[in-house]
Amino acid sequence: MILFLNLPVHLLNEELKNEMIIMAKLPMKSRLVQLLYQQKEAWDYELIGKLLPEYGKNSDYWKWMARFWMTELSCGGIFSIVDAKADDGSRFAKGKVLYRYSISDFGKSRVEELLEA
Amino acid sequence: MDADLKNIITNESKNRVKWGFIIGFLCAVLWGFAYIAFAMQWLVPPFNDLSAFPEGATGMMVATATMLTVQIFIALVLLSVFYLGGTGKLADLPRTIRTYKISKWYALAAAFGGPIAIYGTTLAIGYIGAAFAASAALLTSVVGAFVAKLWYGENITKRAWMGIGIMIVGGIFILNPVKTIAEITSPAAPDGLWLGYLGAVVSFIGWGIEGAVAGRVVDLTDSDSGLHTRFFAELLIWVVIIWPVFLLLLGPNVVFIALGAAFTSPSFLIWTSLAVLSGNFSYVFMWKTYPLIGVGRGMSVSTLYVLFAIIALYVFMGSPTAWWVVLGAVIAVVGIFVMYWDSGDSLLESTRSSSE
Repeated sequence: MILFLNLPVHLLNEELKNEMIIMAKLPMKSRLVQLLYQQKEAWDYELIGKLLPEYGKNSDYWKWMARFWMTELSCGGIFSIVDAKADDGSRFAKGKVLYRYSISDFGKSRVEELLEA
Repeated sequence: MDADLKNIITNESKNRVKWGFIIGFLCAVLWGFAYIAFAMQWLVPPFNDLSAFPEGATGMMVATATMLTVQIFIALVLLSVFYLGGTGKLADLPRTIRTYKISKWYALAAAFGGPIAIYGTTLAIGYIGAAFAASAALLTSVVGAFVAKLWYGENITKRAWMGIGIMIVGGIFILNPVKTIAEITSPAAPDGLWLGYLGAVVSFIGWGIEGAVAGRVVDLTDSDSGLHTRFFAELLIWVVIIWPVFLLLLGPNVVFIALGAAFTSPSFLIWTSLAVLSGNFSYVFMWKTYPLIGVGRGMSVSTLYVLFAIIALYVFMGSPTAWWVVLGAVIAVVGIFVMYWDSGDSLLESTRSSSE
């Protein structure tokens, strides 16, 4: 599991190690929600940059999938869009829109009920 | 916001809406045509003469359970391997199943949607007909709206009340109480005919509750691996709960002859696979439309399935549908469009309104 995450094992204490294993066990989309829950507010590319390496993914397909999930989440009222800017081609592709999300109160209560503790 | 960005956002949402409608329409066509396979399942061995099952209403219950167990088994195997495997999400399935706080809700949804609702609709298809069963299922939206109100405090707007009213009128035509009562009380009625009508009612109540329960967790998991978690839970319910009960009540002979007859009938396995690839697979499409055009529009477009079902059953099976069922189905579809179509001011807005 730790190898899979590409992290130097000796740098992790027991507690942190367990936490990482638990996190890696969550379904990917659930982990995406949890990431924003922990960060309160973030750009989509920042979330994707954290999410995909945890699951050993890196391709455009999975970036697209994660963005699809974020659209689902903002449509379902879990994520709220707080800002948007045009992608100059350095993040996903030229002509795409980058969104900055915050987690809604409804989203917070869902995470607390279903993912935390 | 500069004009350039606005332009890009408009383009992106146009593209999204276009795909939302294409996928919603595909869902409706697949779902409608699935009723041909559902009807065929009753016309091939061992379900054509029912000789592998006990007599009367008990036999129908065993036959339906057999059909559904084989179907959910094939759905899980076929769609996991080809669809989840193809989309690279197979590894997410065990992760979703292991996250009990989430999967327990999928299991509850499976209990209502599978053994309860699909059992009901399958009995309705067997006793009365596929078009009738498809039309009665439209009333799911009415139950769903009430359950969402009771459990999550979601608002039922004036518009939604209007839609519900129209749907109930449609429902009265579909179920046609006068004729139904005359048929059930007639001495010439086949044994257990009432089970077909009861099944139809149970099906839309079960699906309404399933939707509301699944709604609790489908937000937080990928819809594809979530759907397969639901399939997996349903298979467990059949194998661990329902079949052991049959085993105790009816003895091992009945159970093994029934399951054996179904698993050794190639024509049944083929039609069941087609039912899975159209019926079960259309769920995948329906859930994909929600983020693209909103839950309300997604559901509205998908419910056009009933018209495709009635047309397909007429064209391919030569089975005409009673005029009151067709009329009731059209009224109910109109009701669903009234209820959901304008559920958000813009397509990019949140589709959930809650009074919390």
